[in-house]
Amino acid sequence: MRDLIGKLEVVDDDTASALRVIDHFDHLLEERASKAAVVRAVAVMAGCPAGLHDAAHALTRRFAPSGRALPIAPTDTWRHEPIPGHPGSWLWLERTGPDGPLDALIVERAARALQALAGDTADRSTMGMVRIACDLNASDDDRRDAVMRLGLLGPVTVVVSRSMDLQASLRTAFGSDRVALLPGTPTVPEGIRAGVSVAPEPLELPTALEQARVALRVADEVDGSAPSLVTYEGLGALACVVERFTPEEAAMVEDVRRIDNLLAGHPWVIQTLQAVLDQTSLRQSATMLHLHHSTLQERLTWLSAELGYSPLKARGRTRAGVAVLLWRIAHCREEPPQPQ
Amino acid sequence: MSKTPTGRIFADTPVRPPFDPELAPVLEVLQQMVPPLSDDVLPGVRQGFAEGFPGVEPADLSAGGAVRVEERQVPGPAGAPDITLLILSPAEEAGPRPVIYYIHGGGMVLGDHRLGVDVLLPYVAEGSAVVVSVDYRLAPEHPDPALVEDCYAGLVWTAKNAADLGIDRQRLIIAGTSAGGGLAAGTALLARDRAFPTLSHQVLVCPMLDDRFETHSSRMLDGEGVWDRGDNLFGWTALLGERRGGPDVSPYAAPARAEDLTGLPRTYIDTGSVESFRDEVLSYASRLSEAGVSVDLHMWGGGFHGFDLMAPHAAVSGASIATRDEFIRRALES
Repeated sequence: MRDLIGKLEVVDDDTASALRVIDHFDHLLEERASKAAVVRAVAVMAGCPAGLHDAAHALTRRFAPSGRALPIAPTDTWRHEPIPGHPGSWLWLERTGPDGPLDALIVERAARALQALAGDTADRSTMGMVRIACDLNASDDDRRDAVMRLGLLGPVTVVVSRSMDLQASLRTAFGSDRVALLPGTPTVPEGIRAGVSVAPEPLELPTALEQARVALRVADEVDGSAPSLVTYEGLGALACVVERFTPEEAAMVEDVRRIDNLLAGHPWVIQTLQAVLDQTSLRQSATMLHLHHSTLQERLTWLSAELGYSPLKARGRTRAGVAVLLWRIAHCREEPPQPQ
Repeated sequence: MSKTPTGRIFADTPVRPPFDPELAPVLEVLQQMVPPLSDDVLPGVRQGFAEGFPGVEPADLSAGGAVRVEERQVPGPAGAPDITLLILSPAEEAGPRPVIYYIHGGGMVLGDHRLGVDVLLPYVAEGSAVVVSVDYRLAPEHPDPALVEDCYAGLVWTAKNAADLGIDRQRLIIAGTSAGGGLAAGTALLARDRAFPTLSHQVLVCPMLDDRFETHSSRMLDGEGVWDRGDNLFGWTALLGERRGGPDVSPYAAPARAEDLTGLPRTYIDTGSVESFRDEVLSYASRLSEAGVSVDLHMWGGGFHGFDLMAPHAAVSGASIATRDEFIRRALES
């Protein structure tokens, strides 16, 4: 009957409001409510979205004041309230405009409740430490601590793959991304589809991970016509193109659409273009494709007519190179950075 | 109004399920906002409802211009004063739409036609329904049958004026919350027995159906949760006076007493597992089903009375709101 919408939002900074905030989180803890329930309580009391990130478990939760789950978004613009005793875990309020009257108290009590709910023992597993070391938004202190626990000094090679487990002692997963950290700059074994980048020093691991992901986007399947192992450093200027295009944007480019249209009836188009781009002579390209060079010549004549440019001639060659690169971006199985 | 000492009615306090962990802290806040009901506190609580609660903005019923808001005085029951209807219709005219005829909650003693109606606003703003909400007279000043007859009179007027209101008469949905849910069920029984109008659906949100206090759940909350047995006894006694619990209560006032539930509209009915009305809801749902009515029944574990209205942010509230919304959308699209 008290058919009123419960108004839990804190609008005053008086003692009664403060006590209500403290009671609410104490009560949630007493009831052993879920961590998500604590984050929702933060959002509803503050009257703005709130989130929790747990780098060690690659977990992000965001909620609107209505309790509705929000999609994952970058957290770095908001002030982090660390969860005591749990490196790489923090809460935030997505407050735009002036602070609410008890914002600081709300996040502080919520952080304590989350600490108690999580138990006293933080996750010190290797997987957790690798995740913190690679987390873009983790504090420098937490990352330094994780890197030290992992025994990393000097350059670190980051390998990202989707297809198989990498053989390495320091590894973890972010959603469907398998990540391995190799101390130093060892040769990464061929035979996997992976992106690779080197962090000059361990605190730069988050950047190196992003770069390795960029490289992975243009890696071909194992035994494909292009390399399946791509290093970010090896991409050089091409990396700038890869970074700036989403798969959707790349798929919209006219030259990419033309390749897709041709592929529908001629599955050899991509391999042929790649072989022509990778080899210096037609004969070498034909050998690579296991074709007679006259057959290749016929295909290229047809292809030039269909594309409207010749992939053999100087400008056409560059155009074909960029078109194939964009085609790979358009067809990489892109997923959100940290799917839940 | 005479009040029976509660000790004589409630010999025991049977066990109750636990409250949902996320809902439990909200109860403290709610209990501070509204005291246990009695003759003494009722005027103050009514005033609080009328003035709104501190920090609670009144809803913008026009939804930023998407909704036309009007109030109409329409004839009440024979010999009784006119009643006020709040009519919310899509600002953009476009063919006849289904109507949701809404009956507010408030334990038979509180609230008006604006209470809780904002929950239905999205359907109007999207152009998929017209909402009509009735300002029925309240007990104890106006005992039964004033309340349910007012609700019925408003429904009759709405159905008869369907063309003017842009309403599709084939799709009359009656909905109510709490006491309004009980009144909606009673009004649906009246509409069936008086053969006008034909309702397509009844949406009974945690409805108040039974004045007898014979079920387990009607006795299990004493000073706990929302609308405990003391509040419930106060509400029923306000409505029925000395007749409460006796043989002279009509099924239109307490639909749990209806012996014949055949021919009632397609039903959605829900309850929390920790509320006084739980067992009467479960029983009404199964008896409707036995009578050949199509019923969607939802009991939400750990929910107190009205949990999803008062704590919409909790996960269990989200599930309940989404489930009910999905039913209403199906009812509207038919």
